[in-house]
Amino acid sequence: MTDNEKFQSAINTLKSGVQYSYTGDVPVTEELFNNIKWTTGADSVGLAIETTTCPHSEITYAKILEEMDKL
Amino acid sequence: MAFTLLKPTGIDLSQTFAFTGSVTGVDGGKVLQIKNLHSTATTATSSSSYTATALDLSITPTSSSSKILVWMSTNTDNEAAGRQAEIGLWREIGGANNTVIGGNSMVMASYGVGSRIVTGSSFVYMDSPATTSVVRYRVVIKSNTSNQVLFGAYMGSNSTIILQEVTV
Repeated sequence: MTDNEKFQSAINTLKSGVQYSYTGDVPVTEELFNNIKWTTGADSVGLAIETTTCPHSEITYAKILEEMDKL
Repeated sequence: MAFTLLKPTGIDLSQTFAFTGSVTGVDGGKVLQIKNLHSTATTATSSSSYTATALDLSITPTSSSSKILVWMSTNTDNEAAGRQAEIGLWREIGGANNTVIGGNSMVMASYGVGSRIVTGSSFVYMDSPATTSVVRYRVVIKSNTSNQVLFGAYMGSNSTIILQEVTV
């Protein structure tokens, strides 16, 4: 299982339907995790409204790592 | 007495010619400038709204009547059956008035009912920004299922965006 697959599985385990995006390497370090853009909505032209502060209390870097380690 | 205009039977291309008149009867457009960007970055998204990729390029038209020809080429990966990436083109003029142009989705990419599909994706779009202010184009992507899809380069390949200012 690749880090990409583990990351997606971990996210979905912690909370399904979470919308996010990132460019570059799979966020397996805290620095990369903090660069994830979490989608909180859409503007009038259909662009995602994003924040790098995770709005989901179920999801933290530590919890993601914990779930990935189980895989 | 009638005069006969003798047409040259050939041109010595090693000579220098200085034209003082104008050339008429020649139709067709011209390419005025070209901008291009290559990227090896991959963007992953599960967002159902458009999010930016690394393909982000600006051009300043020399005339408000110019067209901007946008070329984009990349790879997309739906990562699993039933997922699909949608690619769009976002435009901003003079740092404002941002919009997604060319329809809601320029490219419906990599849809596989029963399988993962990795494929090349591209579009060409002729834009009429009607400005001489800086025009910024960004290729944007979204997932139609809120499950992660991938946009960008694989195994060292490039994603590319090319902007051509043209007259038509």
